[in-house]
Amino acid sequence: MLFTVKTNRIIHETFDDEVVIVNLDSGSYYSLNTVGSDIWSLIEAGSTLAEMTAHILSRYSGDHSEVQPAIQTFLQNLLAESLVTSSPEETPGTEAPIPASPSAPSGLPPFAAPQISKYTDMQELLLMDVIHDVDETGWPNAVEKVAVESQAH
Amino acid sequence: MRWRKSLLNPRPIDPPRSSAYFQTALEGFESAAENAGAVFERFYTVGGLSVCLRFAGPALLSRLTPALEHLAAIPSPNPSLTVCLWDSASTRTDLPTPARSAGKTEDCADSLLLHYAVSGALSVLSTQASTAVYWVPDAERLPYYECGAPLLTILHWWLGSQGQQVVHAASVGTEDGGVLLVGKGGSGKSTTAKACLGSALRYAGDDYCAVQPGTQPRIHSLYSSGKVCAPDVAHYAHLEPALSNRARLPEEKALYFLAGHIPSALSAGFPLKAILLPQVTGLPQTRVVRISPAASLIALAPSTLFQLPHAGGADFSRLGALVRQVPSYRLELGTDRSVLPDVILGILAEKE
Repeated sequence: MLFTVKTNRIIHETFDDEVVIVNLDSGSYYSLNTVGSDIWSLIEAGSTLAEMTAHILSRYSGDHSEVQPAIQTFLQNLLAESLVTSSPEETPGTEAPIPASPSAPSGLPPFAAPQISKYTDMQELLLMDVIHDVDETGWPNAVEKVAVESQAH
Repeated sequence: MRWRKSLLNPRPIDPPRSSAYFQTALEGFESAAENAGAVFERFYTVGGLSVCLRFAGPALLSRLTPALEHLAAIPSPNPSLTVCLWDSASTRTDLPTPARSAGKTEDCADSLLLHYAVSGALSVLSTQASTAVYWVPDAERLPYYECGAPLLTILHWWLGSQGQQVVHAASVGTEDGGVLLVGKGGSGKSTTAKACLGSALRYAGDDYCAVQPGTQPRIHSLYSSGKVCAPDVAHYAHLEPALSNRARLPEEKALYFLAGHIPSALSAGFPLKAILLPQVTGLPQTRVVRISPAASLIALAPSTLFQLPHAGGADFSRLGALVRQVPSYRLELGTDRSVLPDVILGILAEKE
């Protein structure tokens, strides 16, 4: 399975160890933790799940049995948020070989599951279409509501 | 303030051939001007560039210019942007083509942006012709927020075409440097900016500013207005002479035009030295905590992107570059607002 970052209405900025993503259609925006940012870069590079797993195992200490399911879950979360699309690999069977129990090189930081934090406090602003749709009493700070920050899934 | 009243159509504007609608909108302005009997021109320096506003009759002039007064400039024979403005009620001139679905922004051509607002305002910009059209049904019914941030849509598009970025942010500073105060509504940015009035820090806006990227990014003030929730008006008794809409409180937020009241407290802009994210804590002390560029972008970008029609990837990239270029801090607001100017001056002193 190959994953592709959606373009056009999904915009993102990559920093050293964080990625900020905005969905211009839904009004949701996201941040990725360090490992999530690594995987985001691998998605952009066109890596397969096996390649992602191998890469992460080369950078963090962890077991394959722990890392690959965590990456799969993360990818499913990205799909569920419509931030990426998936497609079958063009040439099945070309994935990089995966060591069954890779031994973690010493000195690597411990693996932490890739995570996506989702922020929805702008959705209301977008749905209200604040510049366009509000009545005359509120814009531009029409409704002050506490930000909703959640861990996606 | 400098302005002049001119005869009708003193400087014909060549419309871009690519857009029949833009031509139609311009013809509507010309008809309105003829019906009104006069065109009033005013010039401003916006984002360091010359802008000419051409009003068909006086109705919109008094509603839209107070927030821009601190940017008034001498007339320019070749303004970088010309905006033609009229309303139907006072000029008895309908919009030639009725508005389609409201709340939509469209690209009619590579160089043309069009936006209808439910409030009735139509904004059309042709970057090719460096000309915009702004129309509303009735100047007397213009919402107060349009008066507080006039032509925001047009300025956002046009400044973007000039490589500048309109941001949802307040700003204060000295001629040597200033800060952007960013965050969604209610975060404390406007309160912080107004707490600096009367200090060594000058005020460049409480809701929207423009930022010019570069080796040394520069903040440009857009509006000298300030808004306060009606229940808080008592806290700003010293600004009472600048209050524009007392009779319509509390249905509207209190809208202040500061240029006529405390012009020396205002600034047209300064170098950008830092980005601050105010956060109301309820604790006694104010603290400053360095944050990552990503955290800064999360506070700055969404509230900017989702308030400005047709904002997108280019805006996001400019904002990303900005937070990489200057340091960002979380400004944990204590209960004593009087310390805020010194806290911000302290941050700026560190950046010297």
